[in-house]
Amino acid sequence: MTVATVEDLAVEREIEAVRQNAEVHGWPFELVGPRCFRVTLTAHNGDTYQVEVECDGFPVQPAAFHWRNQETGHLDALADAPEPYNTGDNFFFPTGRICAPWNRLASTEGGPHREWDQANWMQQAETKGTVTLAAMVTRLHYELRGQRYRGRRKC
Amino acid sequence: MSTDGKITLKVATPAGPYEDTFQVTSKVREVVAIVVKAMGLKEGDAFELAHDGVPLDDDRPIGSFDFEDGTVLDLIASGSAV
Repeated sequence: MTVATVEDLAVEREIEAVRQNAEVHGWPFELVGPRCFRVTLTAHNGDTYQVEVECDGFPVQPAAFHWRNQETGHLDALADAPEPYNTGDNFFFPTGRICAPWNRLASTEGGPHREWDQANWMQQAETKGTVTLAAMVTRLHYELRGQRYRGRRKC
Repeated sequence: MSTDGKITLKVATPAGPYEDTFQVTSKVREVVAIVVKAMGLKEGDAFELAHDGVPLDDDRPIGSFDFEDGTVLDLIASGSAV
C-alpha cells in the first residue's frame, strides 16, 4: 500500500482548485497523473492553447508549464506557444517558455533565467505572489485574454 | 445587471472558486477584500480583480460594469507573497 505524504495531499488539493476554477470558466481539464494535469485555455482572438503542468517536486521546486500540441501530443514546440509581447515584457519569452519564477522551465536549459534559484522561487520578486497552481493558470488565462496577446507564435 | 441592488458573481481565485452576492455599490477593492478573506488568502498580498483579461478599477462600484448574475471574474495575484 502506498501512503500519501503531506506534500502529495497538498498538491492534490492545489490541482483540485485548478479543476474547480476550470469548471467555473468552462476550460477543458484533464488529470493525467497524480502530479500532472492539462488545461485548455482560449485567447481573446479564439486561439486555443493546451498547457501540460508537471508538478513533480512542487512546491519545493516550481511546476513545469509546457505548451502541448493537442493533435500530436508534442510538448514545447515553438509553434504551439504565443507570440512574445511587443511591450518589452517578456512574459511569453521568444524561446516559447513562460517567463516567471513559478515555471520551472524558465530557469532550466533554454529558459530565460538560468540564474533563478528554483529552491527559492516563492521568494523571487517576479513571482508576484503567484504561488499556487490555480493562481498560475489564472494568470495564464489573464495574459491570453488581455489586449497585449499577439497571436500564436509565427515560426 | 441585477435590478435588486445586488449581483451574484463567481471569482476564480488562487485557492479555487468563490461565489457570493454583492451590493452593486460595493467598490472593486471591497469585493477583493471580501474574497481574499473568505478564501483564506494572505491579506497583506496584492490582488486585483479582472474580467476577461481586463483589470477592474479598484475605485469603481462593482455594479458600474456590465456584468450579469453569474459573471466569472478572476482574482490575480499581483504582489509579493513574502
